[in-house]
Amino acid sequence: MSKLASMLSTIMILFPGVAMATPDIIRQQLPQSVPHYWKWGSLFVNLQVNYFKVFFLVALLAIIIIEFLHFVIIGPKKFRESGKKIRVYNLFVRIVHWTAALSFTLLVPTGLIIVFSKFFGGDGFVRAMRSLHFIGAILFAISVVPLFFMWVLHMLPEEGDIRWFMVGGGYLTKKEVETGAGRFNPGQKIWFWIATVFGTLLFLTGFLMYLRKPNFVIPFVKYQIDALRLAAITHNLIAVIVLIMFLVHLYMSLFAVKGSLKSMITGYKDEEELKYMHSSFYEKIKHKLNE
Amino acid sequence: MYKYSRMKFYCDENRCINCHGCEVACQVGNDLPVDIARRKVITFNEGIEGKEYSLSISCMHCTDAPCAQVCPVQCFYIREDGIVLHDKDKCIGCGYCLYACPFGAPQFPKDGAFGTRGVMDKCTMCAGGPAPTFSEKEKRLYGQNRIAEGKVPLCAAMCSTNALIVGDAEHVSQIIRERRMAHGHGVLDETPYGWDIAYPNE
Repeated sequence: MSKLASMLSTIMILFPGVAMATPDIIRQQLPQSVPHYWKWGSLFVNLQVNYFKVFFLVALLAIIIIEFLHFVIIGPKKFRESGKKIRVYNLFVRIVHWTAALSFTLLVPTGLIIVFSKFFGGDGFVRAMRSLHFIGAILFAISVVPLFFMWVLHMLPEEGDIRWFMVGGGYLTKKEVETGAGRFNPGQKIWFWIATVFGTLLFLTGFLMYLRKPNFVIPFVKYQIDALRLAAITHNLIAVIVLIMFLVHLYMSLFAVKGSLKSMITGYKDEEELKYMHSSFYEKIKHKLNE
Repeated sequence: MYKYSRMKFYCDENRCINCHGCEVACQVGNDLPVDIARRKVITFNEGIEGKEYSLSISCMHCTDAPCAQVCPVQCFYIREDGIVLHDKDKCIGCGYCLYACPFGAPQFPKDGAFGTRGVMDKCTMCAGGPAPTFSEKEKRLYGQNRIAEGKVPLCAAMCSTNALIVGDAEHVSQIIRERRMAHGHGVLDETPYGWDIAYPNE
């Protein structure tokens, strides 16, 4: 019965209008958790004071500099237009992708603004960004389930992936090389797994922090306040990795491969691009094209 | 700033009778919402005969306060007398101060959009906040400024058994010493609860 009640109150916390009096477990555990502070409490303070901001700043600047250098030295991939268009993304896939894309576009900049909120002066602006971060999280939760199931079978490792890594994905040269990648290249696969698995972890830890006083028992953690501390630590560390991969994905789609953005909007890719960037996939569908 | 100029709370576990008077005085006197408890009375070893005792804890106004260190907007400031205060206009309600606090002192009303955390609220040792002293804004956001009036904070002022005392660290220590001597316990043999965490260097 108490389990049902706690579940119910957890659901009701989601709706601000119907908040009910919940037992404050953090308060009940204070006698034990205060002397326990040196374990996770001081670790969180140390990480937040010395490391998190540095991690985010270094990741942000390093990726932007690397992408800029790549753009200047190697430049974007351009493929001859053969005129033959092949449909690679159907409408459902595109809708799900763009919902997830919108959620990340909301989450990443607002998250960075929260991390560097001193720079933005705090106050109402950053509080509004926190609300946007919340909306982004809801959008993510909606889109991640169909996103995962529609692509999970395509995202498993394949034989051709090794060759893709050997040629650096074909991105390290101006020449057109056959990369050996299947329907999705290993870079896309890594981003898929990070976005879904780490994204879900981010959602869960963020949800825990959103609850303020989670009044249910959290497995493996003795004290409620420690669960919140661990959630904040995990959220920050994983967010750095997701930030890096998001920026790489953004660069690849907007700048590195010409026509990449268009293909996700229209659903069609040019035959020439598939021949090189997804050569294994092209081998498979080639006979269909000639019919 | 000399060593003993710090303001400290001390709760005597031999005197606290678990009446929750300090909690009520703080909530009513500062017009706090229902789910905000700046001060909490907690019971140790509940149900164990002879070992059960109660203490009233709130913000301990730590030296090198961890909340002030982790705050991403740096909205905290520590007064010369050691009282830790924060600026509610700057606060973004991220909750990091709660995770950093050993004592669970920072409280968050649920008044942000979508039921997210509102701006943080915590014990000010009845010293108001950064808003102009005795202004309407200060009273609304931070509660009474009894320190500026030359009065003792509400909780300690109403404590019927004088278990909760507050003041200059030197005076507080002297009162504790005198009480121990009167009881025949000799000198203070252990640090008061939480002081080793709140004031590690003093």
